[in-house]
Amino acid sequence: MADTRVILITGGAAGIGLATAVRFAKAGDHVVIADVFEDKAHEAVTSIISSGGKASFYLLDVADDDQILRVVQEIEETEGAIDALVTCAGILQNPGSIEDMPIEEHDRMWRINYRGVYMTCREVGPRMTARGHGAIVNMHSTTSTRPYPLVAYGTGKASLKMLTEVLAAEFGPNGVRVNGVAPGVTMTENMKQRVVAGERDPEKIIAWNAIPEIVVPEDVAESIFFLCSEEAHAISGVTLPIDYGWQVAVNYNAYPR
Amino acid sequence: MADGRIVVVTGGAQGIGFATAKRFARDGDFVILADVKGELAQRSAHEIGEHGGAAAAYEFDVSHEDAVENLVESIESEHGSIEVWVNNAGILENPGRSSDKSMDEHDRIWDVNYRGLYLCCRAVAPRMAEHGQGCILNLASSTSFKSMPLVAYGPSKVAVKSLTEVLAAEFGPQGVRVNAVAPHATLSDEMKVRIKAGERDPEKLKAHNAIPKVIMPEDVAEGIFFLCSEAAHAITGVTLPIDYGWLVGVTHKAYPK
Repeated sequence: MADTRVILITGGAAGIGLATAVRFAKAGDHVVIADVFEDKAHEAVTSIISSGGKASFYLLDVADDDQILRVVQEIEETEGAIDALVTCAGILQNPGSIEDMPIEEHDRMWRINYRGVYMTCREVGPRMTARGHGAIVNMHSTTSTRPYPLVAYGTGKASLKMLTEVLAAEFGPNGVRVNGVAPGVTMTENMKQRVVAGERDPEKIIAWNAIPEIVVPEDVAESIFFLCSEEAHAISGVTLPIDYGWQVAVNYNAYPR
Repeated sequence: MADGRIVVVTGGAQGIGFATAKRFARDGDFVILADVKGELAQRSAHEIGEHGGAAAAYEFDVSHEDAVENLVESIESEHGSIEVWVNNAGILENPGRSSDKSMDEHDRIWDVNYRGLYLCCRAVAPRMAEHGQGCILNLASSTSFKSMPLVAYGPSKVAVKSLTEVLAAEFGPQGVRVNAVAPHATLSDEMKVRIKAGERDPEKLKAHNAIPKVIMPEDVAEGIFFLCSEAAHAITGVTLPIDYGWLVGVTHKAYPK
């Protein structure tokens, strides 16, 4: 692997995206944060640079196709060829029923969480295949495989898992790997706000984990970093859960006894 | 990460087991190669020592309950608490029909690949739980997910994946993580023997991989090492495919077009 890889992280200004940017920067990679939140992104870039890392910021709303095409083009011209793409840009949903969610909110969630990733991969993937190498990591979720009361978020994340698998097969012959991480409920800034607002109960977040601890963004960042590393060169098309064993414990502990 | 963890690799004398032992040894861990091939294990441990690593060899048969108990007891009394246990000992099967498979071969494969692994977990996990930490890593397979003409090996590896999930849930509350890797056909020493004997076609090993390369023992070792590292502390109950995208490539390529 080349010394300073260029790593594009959408949604890199906060939460899992920011932790991921910090992890790659620590390893000497040049991280490009593309985010809709300008102030937070500038803060992140400044902080990474002051710690001796390399970072740049591009304003990007992944709900806007034209922006994706333009920003990816600009990044490759200015910063160099993208070696790894991490698609963290996404929005959360509070639990609820299909009736409760306004269709506008549903559509907006799909537009960002699924279609935004699709468009980003569609623009970056072929550039990587033309060069014969590259790694993509998409943000799946434990709800990519198991249902939660998240009628728009969950179905979007399940589709994203399938997209990762299709693209891993499509891009594989050209040396591009596509994987996903599936974090359990993670204590991001956004989640903290929801906890403070009384919308989420932190006790319940860990209640069904096999190991009774809460996933933090840095835990997810470590796995994203691994999946993009040379050590993982034989790994493609996988969904790696980072959930303190939620997926195995939830049914285990629900068993009548 | 504590330096010099005590890491036991069953079937550590050769193939994926030996590659795994070398990977841990390179990181400063003390590796114990426990294998039914005692002399080969001695030679492999010696080789690790010659490269500056710390290793010891034990001869044991994973299919004998007493041998498993004795091994764990001797290792802990001679070296200290076992921190990582890699259940790699296993035997391969050539493709074939169920009617052609003798029950003796069927039972032997289950005895080693599943029951032997079960015995090891049963002996080691409670000790780790008592210490409040530990990591068990099982060798599953791509056939833990999808059918292959391996009528004994395949179902035994499904059982390994399932046991991994059950034990991750059972021992999670005590801080013990249990994970698995799922390699696709790997060019191990044993596989080389079968290729030489004309029982396996090396071209076919990679034919359906998304990335058209053959998986090497070292590739699997990296996945094992990561899952047992501090970077993966929030990961338990997972089965990580290391297959150059075979799982996604096989159906993608088979689609009529």
